[in-house]
Amino acid sequence: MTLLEFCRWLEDTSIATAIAESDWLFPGLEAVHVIALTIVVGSIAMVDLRLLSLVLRNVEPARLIQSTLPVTWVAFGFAVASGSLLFASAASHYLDNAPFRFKLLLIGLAGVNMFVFHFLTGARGARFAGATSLLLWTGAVFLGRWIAFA
Amino acid sequence: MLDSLIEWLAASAVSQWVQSTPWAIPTLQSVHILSISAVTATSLIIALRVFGVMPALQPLIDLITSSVRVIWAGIAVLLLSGSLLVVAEPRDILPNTAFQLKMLVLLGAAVLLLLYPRAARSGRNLKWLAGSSLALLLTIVVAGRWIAYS
Repeated sequence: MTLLEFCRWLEDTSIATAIAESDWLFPGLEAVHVIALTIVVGSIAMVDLRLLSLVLRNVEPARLIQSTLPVTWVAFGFAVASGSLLFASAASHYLDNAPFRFKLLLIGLAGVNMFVFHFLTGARGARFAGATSLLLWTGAVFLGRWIAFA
Repeated sequence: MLDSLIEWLAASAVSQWVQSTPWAIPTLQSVHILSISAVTATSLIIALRVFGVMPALQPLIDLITSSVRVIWAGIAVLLLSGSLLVVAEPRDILPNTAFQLKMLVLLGAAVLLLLYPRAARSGRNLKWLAGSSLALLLTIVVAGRWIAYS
């Protein structure tokens, strides 16, 4: 089964069609998605700005990361769940949508960046990871908005 | 009276420019979302700290002071990007019930924000303030998303 065939199957499922045809399900899921992503981006930005020594200089980076990471992950869970349902409602259309694909790519790269940073120590690594993370997530937000305009 | 304001805005040079520049509205919306991230994440962190979910990384008064600063800065950018979005499409936005509700609730949230520093200094229990601020904020974001659908 190709990816396109899977998407066509997905958007034909009863849950996907219910979302696509409902007056309030799609906007409702969008609202959840926006709230979730603002928490993801905001909490990550807090850490990134700390890594760049721009904010919260009286807090140790490791402790900040330790306390905000659960918030980030819970919000990310909601973002993925709501995003998946939104995607399913018109899967083949979004598969074809360049901003959507690039958005997923940037989010993936942000994950790689976080993973790599976990093993990098030293001030230079922290600053690079923080700056890269901010750029990637800002890009993801812009691309996310662009999906509707492409 | 609102009608003449709407027509005056719609005819303005700023409105014409935003409408004729393809990347203007998605960019303004993205800036709007990034500012929401700053406000939402900060507000959530305060609430989690006040409700004892997040550990204390710094004195509460320090957290409140820096958070309030970030939130006011976020509101400034939101008002700026928001105003340009309204000027771009005044006929669709100004008479919109979701938009008017959003502005009303925003006023309430701003009042609560003004109460924060004094409440924090007086050592009062901040749970009501943090909880209601978060509730108003979520209402604002949902109403904001609904503008596009009503």
